[in-house]
Amino acid sequence: MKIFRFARKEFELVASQKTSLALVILYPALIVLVVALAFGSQNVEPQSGFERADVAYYLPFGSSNFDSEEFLDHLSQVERLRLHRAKSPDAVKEAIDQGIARIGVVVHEPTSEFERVKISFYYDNSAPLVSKMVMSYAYFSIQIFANNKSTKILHRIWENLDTITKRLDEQYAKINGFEEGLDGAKQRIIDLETKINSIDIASLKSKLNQFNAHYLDSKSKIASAKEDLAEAKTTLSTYRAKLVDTSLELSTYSDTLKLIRGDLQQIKNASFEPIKSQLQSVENELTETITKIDSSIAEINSAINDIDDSQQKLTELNTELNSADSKLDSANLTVEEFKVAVDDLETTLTEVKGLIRDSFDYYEQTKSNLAETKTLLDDLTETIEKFMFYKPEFLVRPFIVEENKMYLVSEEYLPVEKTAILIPISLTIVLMLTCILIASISTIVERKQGLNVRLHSSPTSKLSWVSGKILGQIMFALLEALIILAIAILVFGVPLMGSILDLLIVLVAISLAFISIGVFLTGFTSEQSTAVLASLLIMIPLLFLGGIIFPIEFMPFYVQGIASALPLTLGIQLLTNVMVKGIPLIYALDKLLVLVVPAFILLLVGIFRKKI
Amino acid sequence: MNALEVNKITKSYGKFKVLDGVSLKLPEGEIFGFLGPNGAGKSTLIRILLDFEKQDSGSFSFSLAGKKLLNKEVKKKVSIVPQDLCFYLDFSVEKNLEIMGALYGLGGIKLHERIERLLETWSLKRFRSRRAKNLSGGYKRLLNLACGLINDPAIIFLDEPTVGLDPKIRKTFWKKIVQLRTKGKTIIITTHYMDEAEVLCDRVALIVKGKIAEELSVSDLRKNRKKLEDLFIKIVEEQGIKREDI
Repeated sequence: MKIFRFARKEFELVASQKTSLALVILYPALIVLVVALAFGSQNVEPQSGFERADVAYYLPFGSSNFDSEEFLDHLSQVERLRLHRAKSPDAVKEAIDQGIARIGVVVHEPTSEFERVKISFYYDNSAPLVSKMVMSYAYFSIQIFANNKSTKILHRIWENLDTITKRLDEQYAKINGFEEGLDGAKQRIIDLETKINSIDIASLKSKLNQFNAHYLDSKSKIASAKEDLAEAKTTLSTYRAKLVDTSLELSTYSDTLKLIRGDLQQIKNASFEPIKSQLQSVENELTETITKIDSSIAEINSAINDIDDSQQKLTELNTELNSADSKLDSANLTVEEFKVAVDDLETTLTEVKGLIRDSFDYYEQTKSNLAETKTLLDDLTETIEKFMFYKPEFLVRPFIVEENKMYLVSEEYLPVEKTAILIPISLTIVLMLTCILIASISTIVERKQGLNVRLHSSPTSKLSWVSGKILGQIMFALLEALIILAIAILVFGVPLMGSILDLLIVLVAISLAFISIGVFLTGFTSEQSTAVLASLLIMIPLLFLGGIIFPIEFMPFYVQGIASALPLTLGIQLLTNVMVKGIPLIYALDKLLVLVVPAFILLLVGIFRKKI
Repeated sequence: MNALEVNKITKSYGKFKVLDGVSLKLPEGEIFGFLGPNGAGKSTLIRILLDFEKQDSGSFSFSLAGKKLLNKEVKKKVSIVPQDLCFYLDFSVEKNLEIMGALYGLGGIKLHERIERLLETWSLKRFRSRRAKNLSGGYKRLLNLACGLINDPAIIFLDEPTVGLDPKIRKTFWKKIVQLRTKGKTIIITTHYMDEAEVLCDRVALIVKGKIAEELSVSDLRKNRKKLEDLFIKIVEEQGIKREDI
């Protein structure tokens, strides 16, 4: 029974310590609250458990095969990514350096390989888990964009194919029209051909040739006959003239002979006989010659008469020839027939001309239609070529993604990368535990040992007293940090990427921040045990919300703001900046200020909260 | 010439009036005793005089050789030896004295000399390197006193300086406090020990229910062959406080 009495005593003892009691009640509530805050995000999928993450991006606008605005629209609508636009790829890296973004996305100009767009991811490997998660989420989002883009292109191709089909149908209809037109033209030509065929050109030609040959022959013959007649007539006339001349000459000779004969007879009559007989013989011969001449004259005259007759006949013949010539002229009647035929032919030819003109028109029309068709086909070809720009490989995978870690890139750091990342975290936690506890316990111890009474009664100001205390505690913290760093660097070979001066400043700032919390707590506690409990009360939320157990990006958005401003979070970030990232402290002055300024406020509250 | 003048100081905690128009004049170079039952307001008065608390009304001033001390000078010339031990238990005797000296801006040879003198005066020399927590109760009290004297104050408040000490050490203490008076120090003692007050104090003030019930000279008391304790009980009982509550 004694045990129960002691148990009751213990319970009452604990309950009598009001601050402890309050902390005992507050503790579970606080832990539940902190856990709920940190882990209460609705998104707990392993791939995208984070609530909100910052992404820096660089987009080269005006890229040929890449709609940057559309891409940006897509990314900006991705709920859990908070975008920060950078002016250059280097600015993307700077954003990660400064902790503005966890990952960076740099979009390059399309590559020669299927016009794919190259996307470089840069991730903060000082926080590998969350960075890779955010990166895979961003990659997933980009893939969705890629799929949407490909689907859109395929839809466009599909829609265009539909249009192309419709337009080809129209052209088909048009071509059908051409065909009908051509058939009609063909029918008309066939009709014309029939008409042309009905014209017996061969017969006409034959008749014409016959006529022509006949006519020419007859004409030739008649002309020849006429020439012969004229020649004969001329010859006859020449003969007749010659005959007339000969006749006249002969008549003259005869007359002369007769005169001679008369003279001879006179001579003979006057002459003697032998001569007379001779003369008589001559006279007989003469008479005979005269007779012969006269007979010849008579014959010539007869011949002249014959010639005259012949001439008469020739005249008649000529008349006949003229008659024949007339007959030839009468052959003109046949030519008239030809004329009729030619008229028919002319009519036909007019029709043919009409048909040719129509054909020309139709040709022009058809040509115009064909030009339209060609333009259309050009359009279609252009459209198809435009789509052929999108290679199947591009449509399947429009992006080439490249992952780059930001820090400890060199091969030599690969074996120590994880350790190097963990050192700033563990160092900050150690500093937190040490500084908060040292500051609170030391102050309480001094207060309990009445040193505050000594201080207050002395001319020393509380501020200089506390400054000295803090300086001493910082030195202690630095010594502790030095030991951890020495082990990290000398034993594990962890590199120090930043400057030693920056490291020192950061360590001092972190120590100051946690010491200020310790001092602040002493403003509200009087007992060492209460101070320890109160320190835990502060440290537990810091651990839960500091991004160590659970990445900040996983927390609800409004908690992220709080978590980012907590000294543990800032301490880890600043120390990681100096140790892992090698970023000069000057680029993280804002964080340093957020760490240090509240520390001074806490210090002032803690120092002046309790007078003694 | 008065080292301290207190003029109608009042102080209340809520409805409870702790000090009710306390007025005092403490001559320079005297040992003055504040006597009173528990809860009479002695400690509150000292806290107010040492600027640990503010009075509701009234005023007080410290003077030295007729010259009123300014606030800064008060801090240098007035010291308190608290009832509780106020030093670092884990530091050595000498280290504690060094730290207390630093509080008064002392350093170098001057501090060293003063430490040596205090160690000598207060019989702490052989314990100079010993951790304070390892000192006996009496030497802890001596160290506490030595710490309060590091600035060589002119006015010293001793709050129950011999509480918990055996009679032998108490007497040693008394001797040393008397020695301080011989050096011209003004000493204000709060004590429950009437014999202590009778031995040490030149004058005493009895505070009951926040008021000065009686202020008298110890030498006059002796002349009248009266015991301070009897007077104290009488006055307290007159104020309606039972003997067992004193």
